[in-house]
Amino acid sequence: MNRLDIRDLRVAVNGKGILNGLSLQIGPGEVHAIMGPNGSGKSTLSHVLAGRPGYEVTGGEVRFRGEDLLSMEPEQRACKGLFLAFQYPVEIPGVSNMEFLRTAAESQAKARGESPPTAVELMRSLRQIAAELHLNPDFLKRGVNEGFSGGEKKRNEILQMSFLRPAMSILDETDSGLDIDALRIVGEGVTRYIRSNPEFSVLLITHYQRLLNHIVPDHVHVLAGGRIVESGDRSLALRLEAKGYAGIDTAS
Amino acid sequence: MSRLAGRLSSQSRDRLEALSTAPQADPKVRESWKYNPVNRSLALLSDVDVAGPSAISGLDQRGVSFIENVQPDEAEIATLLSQSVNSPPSARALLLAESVDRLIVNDRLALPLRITRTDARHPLLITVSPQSEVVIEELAETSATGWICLHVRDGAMVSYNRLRSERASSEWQRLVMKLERDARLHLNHYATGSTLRRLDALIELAGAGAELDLQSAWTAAAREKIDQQWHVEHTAPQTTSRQVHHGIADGNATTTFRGRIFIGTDCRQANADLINRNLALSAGATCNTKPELEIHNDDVRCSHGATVGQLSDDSVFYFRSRGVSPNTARRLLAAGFIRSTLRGSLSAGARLALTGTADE
Repeated sequence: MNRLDIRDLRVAVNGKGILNGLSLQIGPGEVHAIMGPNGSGKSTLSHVLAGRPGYEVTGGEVRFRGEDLLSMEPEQRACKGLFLAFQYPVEIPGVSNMEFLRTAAESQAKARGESPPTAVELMRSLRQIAAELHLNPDFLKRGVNEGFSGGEKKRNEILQMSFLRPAMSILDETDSGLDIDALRIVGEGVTRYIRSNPEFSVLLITHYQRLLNHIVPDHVHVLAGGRIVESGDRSLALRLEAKGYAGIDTAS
Repeated sequence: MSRLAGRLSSQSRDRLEALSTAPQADPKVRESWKYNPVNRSLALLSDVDVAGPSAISGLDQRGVSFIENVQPDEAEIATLLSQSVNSPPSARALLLAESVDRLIVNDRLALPLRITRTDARHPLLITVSPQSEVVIEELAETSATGWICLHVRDGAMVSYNRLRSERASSEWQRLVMKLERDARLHLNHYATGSTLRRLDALIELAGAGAELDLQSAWTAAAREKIDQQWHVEHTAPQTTSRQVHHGIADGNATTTFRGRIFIGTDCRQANADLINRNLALSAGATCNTKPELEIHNDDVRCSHGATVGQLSDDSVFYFRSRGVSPNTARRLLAAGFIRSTLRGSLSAGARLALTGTADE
């Protein structure tokens, strides 16, 4: 069974079609990259999959682990194991990272009928992941993303992912705003999680090829005009990097 | 309302009326901020004499003296009051006080002074002598209606944490604070709503180099009311005031905030910042806010602003994308909005009262 199965997805914002019949299947343990020019619908796809309000699904369907994803509330999708790493993580002053993560872990455990992690388990796990991502453990006491640099925010997204242990992640332009070192740390963090979770699937949305040097995709798709217009292996990403999107047929 | 008014002792009522109307010297002064009419507020006040004498711990330290129920020194009271003609009438009504409790700090105190009750019948006058330092915590257990006056003398430092969280009754509180040369006051002020909670605060920066940091937060729910009138007056050069006020109104609550900054003619190089952010969590909630600046010279740096808004959809969605229900998300976001102003050593109980969560 496919982990994520998108069939002919059509999405509009304010009556304007953004996704125009997008189909994509992602199996367990697969890493897919979606690339595309600005305005091709990349972020819309990630938002619709995560359940962000403000998008109108006008056609098609999405199944996640066999269930109808689009009928679920955003928090249900997360509890089923879908994770979105935000392109622009939100700052939440006054709510510490620790409290945020504990609340998320408890909510997800409750939804799955599991017992929530103890305070000791929580701390141990978070300290280890923070160290792997070169985040000072003191950040756990600070407000969520409050005063974080762009690189710290992206690392925090990967920390949240590694901690919440999803079955599938959508990485929405996780490489944007990262310098070379931060890109490497983020790439290693995701790769580490992939290696230790063979069933884990990734949908990686990016504008550039460079993150794919760190997170090697099994499949690369080109999104243009709200549809996937070309699919291939990693060499497609390298070709796009060299020649740009100019040669891609964007006609729908 | 009239039933409660009838329970006021005649002496209390006289005094409250003296507060509510201007002193005889200026009968024309009226409330300039209209959202809680004074007379109706007065009628809501429950019996002010219930509270009894003050309860303060930490008095056994060297360098502290406390004397109850003494005649006020009129000259001293007069020096406490701002010379500004714009002082709120309630501050000037201090002159009418027949007796006061006096608390004097003459040293750098190692332990905080903890005030759990002030005597509603007369003002508590706190004087912090030059170069002295003290942490004061006022965590009132009853809803006493009282006055607190704080005189921070030259070079003294005061950290004052004040929490008003009794939700059941009504009160009308007055704070009059004066900072002399190079004095520093860090005031953390937290309050919940109640039937009616009214605060008139006058803080004067009266000596060069004086500095005020004021963080305040309030939450009101159901049909609660809270009305805070903060007056910060710069009457000396090179004075600095920084104010952050965060308020939440839920249910059918009404919150009222007036933050007035006055900077006098001789106060060159004064710095004054004030921001008031409000969250209205429900359609029935009302937030009134009015930041004011009155500046009488051009060599100052000032900013002031106020916002009334709702919880950001993006923030709620961020929580939901991590598996958290929208209700929990909103509760935590509201608590975080308040907590982002919290400084100093608030007890777990105090945090709980204010944010619904006792966590750090």
